[in-house]
Amino acid sequence: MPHKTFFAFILPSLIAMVLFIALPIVSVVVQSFHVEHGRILVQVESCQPFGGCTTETRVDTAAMAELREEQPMGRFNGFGTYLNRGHLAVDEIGAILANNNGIGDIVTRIYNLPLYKALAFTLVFCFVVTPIAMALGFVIALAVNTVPKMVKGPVIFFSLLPMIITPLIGSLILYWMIQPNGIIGANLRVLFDDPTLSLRQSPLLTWLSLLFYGVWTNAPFSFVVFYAGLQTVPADTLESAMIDGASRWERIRYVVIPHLAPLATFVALVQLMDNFRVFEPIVGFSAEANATSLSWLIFNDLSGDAQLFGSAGATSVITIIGVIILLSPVLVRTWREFNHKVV
Amino acid sequence: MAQIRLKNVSKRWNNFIGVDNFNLDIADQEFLVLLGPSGCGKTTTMRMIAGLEDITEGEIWIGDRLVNKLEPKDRDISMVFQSYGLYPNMTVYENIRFPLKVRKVPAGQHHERVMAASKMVELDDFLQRRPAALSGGQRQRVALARAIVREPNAFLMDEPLSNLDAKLRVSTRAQIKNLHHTLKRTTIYVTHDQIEAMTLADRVVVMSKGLIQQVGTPMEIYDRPANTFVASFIGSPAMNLVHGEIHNGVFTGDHIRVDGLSTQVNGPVTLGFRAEDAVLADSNAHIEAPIYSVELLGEATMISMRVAGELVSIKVGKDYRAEIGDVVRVNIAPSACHLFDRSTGQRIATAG
Repeated sequence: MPHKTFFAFILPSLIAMVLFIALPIVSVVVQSFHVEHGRILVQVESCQPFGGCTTETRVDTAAMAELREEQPMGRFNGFGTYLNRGHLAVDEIGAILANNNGIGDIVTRIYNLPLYKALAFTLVFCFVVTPIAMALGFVIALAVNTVPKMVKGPVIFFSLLPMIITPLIGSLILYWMIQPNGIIGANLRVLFDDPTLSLRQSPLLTWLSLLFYGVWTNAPFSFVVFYAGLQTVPADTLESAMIDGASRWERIRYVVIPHLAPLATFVALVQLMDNFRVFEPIVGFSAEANATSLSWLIFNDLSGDAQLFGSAGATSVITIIGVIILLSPVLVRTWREFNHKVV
Repeated sequence: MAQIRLKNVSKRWNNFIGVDNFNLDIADQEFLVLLGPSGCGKTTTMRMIAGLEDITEGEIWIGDRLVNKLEPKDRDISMVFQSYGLYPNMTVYENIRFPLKVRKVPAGQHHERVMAASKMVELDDFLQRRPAALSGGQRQRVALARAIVREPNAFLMDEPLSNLDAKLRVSTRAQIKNLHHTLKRTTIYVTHDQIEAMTLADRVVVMSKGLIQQVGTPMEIYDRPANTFVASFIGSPAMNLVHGEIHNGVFTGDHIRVDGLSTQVNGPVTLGFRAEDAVLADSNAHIEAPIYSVELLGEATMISMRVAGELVSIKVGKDYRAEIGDVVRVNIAPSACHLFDRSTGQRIATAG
């Protein structure tokens, strides 16, 4: 295809990408360098007919409105927001490192900083949920591939349900089920003979139920992709493996998995990106006391009374950088392979 | 050592009959070729022997074991596929070693056996390559090496040469023949190419529509085809088949009159003769017809004409020249003529 034709072909989507993706990102970056205006205070002397005069300090609303009008983004703060306690907390970490009682103390204290707390859960969610969900999806795909044609349709439908359900609803359903009076929560109490057992109160159990939910909702995507991939495994190669003496597991190990490896890279990329932005289950589970994520921090900044656009912008930029770091090994590998093939 | 015996073997899918009541004894060390057009059931038969396809009815014995219910890996056979079936993520060496690895052959023997197999198919220079970096012929040799490395009792080959170009087909064919001679293993070979069947086989099984048409050595099948199907399938060009009537040893049809045939047969028959059995004549010829086309083959010239509604080809010397429309006179030796029943197509046995 000539370059000109190709360019004309993708121009509409290019425009859309610039308008709806690139420009907003630029605006977020710019916003993250600004912070809300400080309050302008005025000394007002109010005199009363009989009490004499008192001076009061008040917020000068008129002046502030004028200031907002002039500089709607707030005042320029440089990297101030990035470095403050709510974000990278450079000073606090310096203090912790300079004065602490050993590794355990360092970890606990750093974990108490909001960004690091959120980052901890986000990363754990990414690296626990992605591989388990992929493995589960692969196993489901293998199983569905062997069931008779008659039941294949219904089985596929049920396997896809977690993906069809809106994430917020799905997490709410599971949340209600694990409540002390929900079906899972109540049964767990009976099972462990512990009337005070509550999944919500224990940070560990909250994490576990969030991870469980993550695997449950992520598995169908892997399943769909791997199931499609399984249909393209060459029958000749599978059959020659059968005759060569490979067991079912060895056929999967030596024929199916190598065949699906490029697909697995793709799934891992998509899932990692998705899971790094985990959000709905935290809201659905009302888990913010025990587990927060980067996306939840952004949401929290914007949803309160004081809308902290600068702070939300900084967290967003950090999230974007995180995604890039997360994907870079895979991208570098793909790039190398691409170059390798050309040569 | 493996004789393979098929007893009343059938394969049906709902109403469709793939293979019908197949009976055959394959001797130890025999090279047996299953020959037939696409869809005749030859590959299905082989896949049933391999265990890749269930048997609807009947028994398959390999050696003294009934293998109907055995997994493919437990039948002690190896197979070469038309599209190679190599493992694309492994090197040639690993491909050949794979059967030893999954069968838990002691690791100490692997290298020696892989090298021996690769030497037999001349792959020594390619052992570290992956299948994607090999030509079709090299890939098929990898598949052959993988089949022989385990030294099974029987080899099954499913149209192994079909994906190769004409020249490579000839050399690989010779290689397979030589391997069979060296290894002395029972080999079952599926093909639709009658030249492969003729050149490779100890015995050929000609199949059509799931039924065995004829079993015999290549020469038997060539010289005495059991019916018009075999006659029209074997040989290049295929046997000429002409419909007509026979009375008192004289066959007559449009443009054709052959005498000196068996006097025991009377009535409507199909006369068959091969292109190379016809000779040009001067007068009083058996066939006298205008030329329909002339094809120069290099080593000979093929002329064809319309006789009794059929296009008949005869082979003449390479120096023969004639124009389309010229009248040609041809004689056929009565001993080279085959008679077939017109309605059933079966060969009519004649004395001599």
